[in-house]
This record gives sequence, C-alpha cells and structure tokens, in this order.
Amino acid sequence: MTEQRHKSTDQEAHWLHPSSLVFEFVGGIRSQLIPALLALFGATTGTWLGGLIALLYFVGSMTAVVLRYVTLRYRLVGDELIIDEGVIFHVHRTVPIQRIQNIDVVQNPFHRLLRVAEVRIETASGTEPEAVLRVLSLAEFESLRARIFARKRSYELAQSAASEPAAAPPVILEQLTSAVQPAGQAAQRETIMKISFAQLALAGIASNRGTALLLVGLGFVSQQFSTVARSWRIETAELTRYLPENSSAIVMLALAIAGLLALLISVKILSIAWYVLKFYDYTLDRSGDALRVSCGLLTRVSATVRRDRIQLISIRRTLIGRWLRIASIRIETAGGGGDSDDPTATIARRWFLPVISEAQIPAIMEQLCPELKWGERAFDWQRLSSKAAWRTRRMILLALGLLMIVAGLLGLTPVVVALVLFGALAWWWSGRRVAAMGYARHDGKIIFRSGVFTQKCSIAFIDKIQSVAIDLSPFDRRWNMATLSVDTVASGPAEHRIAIPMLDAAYARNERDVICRSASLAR
Amino acid sequence: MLSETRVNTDNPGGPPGNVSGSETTDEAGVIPAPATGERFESPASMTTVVAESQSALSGSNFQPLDPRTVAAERTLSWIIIAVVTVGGLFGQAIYLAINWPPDLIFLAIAVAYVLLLAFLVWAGHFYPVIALRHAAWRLDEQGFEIRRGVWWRHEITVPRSRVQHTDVHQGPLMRKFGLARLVINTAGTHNASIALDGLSLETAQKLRSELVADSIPQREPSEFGEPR
Repeated sequence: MTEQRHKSTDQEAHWLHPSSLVFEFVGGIRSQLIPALLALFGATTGTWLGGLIALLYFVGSMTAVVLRYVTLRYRLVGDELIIDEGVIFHVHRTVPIQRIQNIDVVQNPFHRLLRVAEVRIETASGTEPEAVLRVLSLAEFESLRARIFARKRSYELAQSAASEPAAAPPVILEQLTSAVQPAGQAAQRETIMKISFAQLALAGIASNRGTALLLVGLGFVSQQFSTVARSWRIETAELTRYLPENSSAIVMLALAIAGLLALLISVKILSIAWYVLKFYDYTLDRSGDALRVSCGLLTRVSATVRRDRIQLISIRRTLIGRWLRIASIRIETAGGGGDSDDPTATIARRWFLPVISEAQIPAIMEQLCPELKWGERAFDWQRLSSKAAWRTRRMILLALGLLMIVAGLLGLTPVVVALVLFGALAWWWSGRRVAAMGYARHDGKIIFRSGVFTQKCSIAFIDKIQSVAIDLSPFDRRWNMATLSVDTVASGPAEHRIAIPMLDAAYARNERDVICRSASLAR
Repeated sequence: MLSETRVNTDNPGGPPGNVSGSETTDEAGVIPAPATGERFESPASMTTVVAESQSALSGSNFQPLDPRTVAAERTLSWIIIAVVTVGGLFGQAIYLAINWPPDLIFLAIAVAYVLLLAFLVWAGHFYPVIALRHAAWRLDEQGFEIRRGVWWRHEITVPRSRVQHTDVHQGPLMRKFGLARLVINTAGTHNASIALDGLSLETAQKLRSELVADSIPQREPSEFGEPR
C-alpha cells in the first residue's frame, strides 16, 4: 500500500500518512489527559482499581484513534470524493467535487518536520470543513489538490460550453479532464502581496493584542509566586525595600510613569511577537479566481478563498494605524470565519490581510474586485442628511439639559460639571461620527464608511445583496430621514453592518429602488 | 385554490406581474391579486377604497393584509385581557382580605390596574386596526416588499431571485380565521428570514408558489443552490 500511495490513479483508495498515528495519538492524549492522569495517579498510589478503569478507558480511546487511522481511506470516483472510515459505525461520505470550494492546509512545526499537513476540504455549506484529513504527506496533498481542481475546472468548462446547463453528462467531463489539465497548469499562481517583517512590527505597534497575553503572563507569574508560599503582603513589602529611603512624591511619580511605560512597551513587544508568530512570511497569491493566503512562523496555514465568493470587503483603519498609515482588510464569505476556532477560516477571512500600507490598497482592491475602479477619495460620497449632526446634538442637549436641571436642583455641583464635560465630548463625537459616515454606489458596488476611532470602509456587491430595508424611527420621520440597510450572506468577521442612518428619506428610498432593481437583474 | 378568485384578470390598476406577462407568472398563476374569497373582488377597488386613509398603501400596487387579522388579534387579546382582569381582581381581593379597610396602597394598586386594563384594551382592541392600516405588501418584477410598523416603520424588499425558500405557517387561531404567516428565507444574515403575518391562507400559498417558481431558474446554473 505504501508503494501505491503516490500514484494518482483514480478510483484507488488512499490512506492517511503513517505519522497521522502519532499526531492523532498526541491529540488524543491532550483530550484524554484526565483519564491518563488518573491512570498514572492510580498506579503511583496503589489504588489500582480506579487506575485500571481509567487505563482501560484510555487504551480504549487510543484504540479508536488507531482504528480511525487504519480504516480511513479516501478515493476519487467519477466526480465525487469518497471518504470511508470506521469499523463498527461505518461512515461513508460523498463530496461532489463541484461543491468543493477550496482545500486548505495547516502545518504545525512537527508536521513540517515530517513533511506532512492537515488538509481541510471545504464546501460552501456551513462553517466547518466538510472533511479533515489529518494528516497527508505533502506529495499526496499536492496530487489530491491538483486532481480535484482539474476536475472542477473541467466541470465548469463543460457547463459554460454547453448551452443547456443540464447537458453536462459525466462522459463529456471525462474527455475534458485530460484536455484541460495543461491549460490549468498554464494559469499559474501569481503573487499579489507579501508582508514584510517591518510591516508586521508596525501592525503590532498599532494593536493592543499583547494586553491579553501580558495579563495571562502576569497571572501565571503571580500564581508561581503564591505556590512558593509568599503572600502578596510580603511581596509588596519586599518591593518597597528596593525603593529609595524617604522617596519624594516626584520620585514616586517618575517610578509610576516608568512602570507604565515598561508595561506599554512589553504590551507592544508581545503584540509584535503575536503578529510575527501568526503572519510571518505572509503571502497572498492568486491563480484564476482562487486567492490563497499562507502564513505563520511555527504553524503554517494555507487557506483559499474564491474571489467570486467574496460577499463583503472591509478596510479597517485604527486610530494608531492611521498615524502609521497602515490598514487591514477583512473579507466575508458565505459561512466560516466568524468566531470559529478553525485556523484556515479565520486566516482567510478575519485576517485576510492583517496589515497593508495605505499606498498598497488600490492595487489590492484591483485584485479583489477588478470591476471597481478603486479611488476612495474620488468616490461620489453621499453624506448623511445635512441636519444629521444637529439632530444628534439637539438630542444630547435636551437629554443632558434635563439631567443638569435635575442635578442642579438637587445641588449636585460635581454631577453638573461632569455632565457639561460629557456634553462637550458628545458634541464633538456626534460631529465626527456624522462626518465619518459616507455612502457611495459605484459600478454595482455599495461602499459604506463609518467610525470615529476605528474607521471601517466596506464594499458590498449589489448582485449579492439578499435584501434591502428602509427603517424610519419616529424621530427619522420628524426629520425626514431614514436608515438604509442591506443584508448580505456573511458570517460577520468584518463587524461592519451596512446600515446607513440619517440619510435624506427621499434619497434613501430612491437608492433602495435602484439597488433592488439591479439586484433583481442579477441572477 | 384559485377557482373562485380569478375574477379580475385585467383590472386597470393591476399589478405589473399581469402586465409584464413573464413565463413564470403564466405558469404559476398571477399572484398580486389579493383574491381571498368573497371580501375581495378586485385589488383595484380595494386600493382606491383604502388609499385615502392608509399611508402604507400610498405607493402603487401595495396590497393590504387580510382584515380578518384584526379579528384574530382581538380574539387573542381579549383572552389575555380576560385573564389579566380575573387575575387582577383576584389579587386585589386577596390584598383587601389581608389589609381591610382599603388604604392608600390599595388605591394606587387599583389605579394601576385600571390603567393597565385601559392600555391592554387599547393595545388589544384598537391597535390592530392601526397596525393593519400601516402594513402592506407588494410583489412586482423587482421583488417582494413589505411595509409595516406604526411608530417605527420598516420597509424591506427581497429581490425575487434571492428567495431561498418560503414557508407558510398556520397556528390554531390563524386556522380558525383562515389566516397564515408567510416566511421568506434568504441567504442573508440579519434578515435571513422575513415573516409576514396576517395574510389569508390563499394569498400566502399563492405567494409561496409564485416566489418559489421564480427562484427555481436561478438555482439551475449553480447546480447546488449555493448562495453566491
């Protein structure tokens, strides 16, 4: 069976790479840690009965892992990928090749050492991969990928060639497969973007991802200290011993500032480390319609997104990011990439482009949606209704004024002062908020930008819009405004819902009609 | 289903589905006539009758909901009102039994009770009429549009080709009044399923077949019906 493995004859069953056994075993140990520890504990303390039960359970689950490896096999038959596994509960899974959207890969350091990879076969449905093959040798994976995509292409060609969509019998398909393969090879990968180390460092500086890491680290350290049986009181007492005698307030202040600075710097260093670990050697390349992201220092992830499946493109610019002139791009597709832990789904969507310099954005947008001439400044931005800022400000004035009168009558001077400060802040913010919002419609795309601190600019495709809504609150009606919102097939990693508030009602209704008209034309 | 209702094939204010005469409308039966038994003879006459008073119908070709929905909602409301009345009286009686003679707290409770009942009667008996006046739907070549909401107004449009599937749902009370809820499912996120209550069963079923018939040609090219 080993000799046959690298041949790509059809209909022939393929097994996983032998090292799967090790990885499944390690994974199994990780998930079965408690029974394993119980077994160990039982063995050491002599209460062997409980230990024996735990050991049996452990051995049983390990046997399941081995059995899974021994029985899992896959083959390509006709235009289907068939995966069989199991002994007692036999699972026979059939995945039509046309439905396979992409084949993603995750490689942790051990995988790379053994030249194997975890392969995920994804279809459009749902958030989880249709099948996970853990693990295949790289050669095996490449041959599987090549065969699947060759068939997919030939199927698509057959479909476009035939006038009737129904007239695409498998016979034609088989004939085309051989003819198309060279052409498929010719349309080779083109690297669109790489992210340099310097850019990752910038992204790390702009983000606060390190805060969580630092907190975890501090928690760990303090726990270590407490296990060495030192109470917090003793620690602080020892700390103060290092302080100079009779230290003045200025020294204390300087120390506090230095401490904060050290904290900030360590957060930033951790952020940079996180970005480097996750996105080292980031490469975005394209072959035909498939965009492939591959990145990672230790665990390498390679994930693919079909360009025509993109539902929403969202450019994010954080406050610090704007100073550093960097941005990030998230995309949304149907299913996947939400909060799921699936590494390939999040890399290809939430972290599609973790960092990009402002100057590179037009080139990337050209690749992502060639039909749109990208020029953020040149777009015909429709601002909110001219009274929008005044409307929010008046609301703030009314609410705060009422509160101030109440507080003043009660004689709460500090509250009144706080309300005045808050009012000033809200006044400024409402102006910024309205100024930041814009809506544009260009070449069958809807572009919406918003955000005071983190600015998001999202592009939705009108031919992929699912529904359009106009909402009017009582205030909206009073001010003759409306909220225009569109719904797309998206799972949410962009965190930017396209809902434009406080547009002139007539304009919003007109836009709704235009969008609906062109959306209904798109099939 | 359509036997008694196909009265008005060429009404002047007729829906564009009639005029455009696409192949789907020919096959699946022309929908936009509300055509729900003896009460509705022609959508045109209906539109003119309601046009003056009903703001949601001010656009062209909007269809109202079935007026029976008011009766259905009132039935449910009065059941709730009866329960609240009896429960409230019972509670007050217990309160009085414990602290006789009536004190100020009892007075407050009684006032709150009366106010609550008044609100329930308004919300249960009169509000459905207002809500009905502000709800309308329309099916044209662009898609299916729903307008509703008395204070907060919502207008949602689903392009025809975006309808994934539709459900017609009937609760026991709805069945008694010959009403149904039409649920339109899209592949979207926030408005993935859009429910419209208060249609007559016939209208809901016709809408369903119309919308489904329309979404079938869309699925054929991408054979597995994936949202694009």
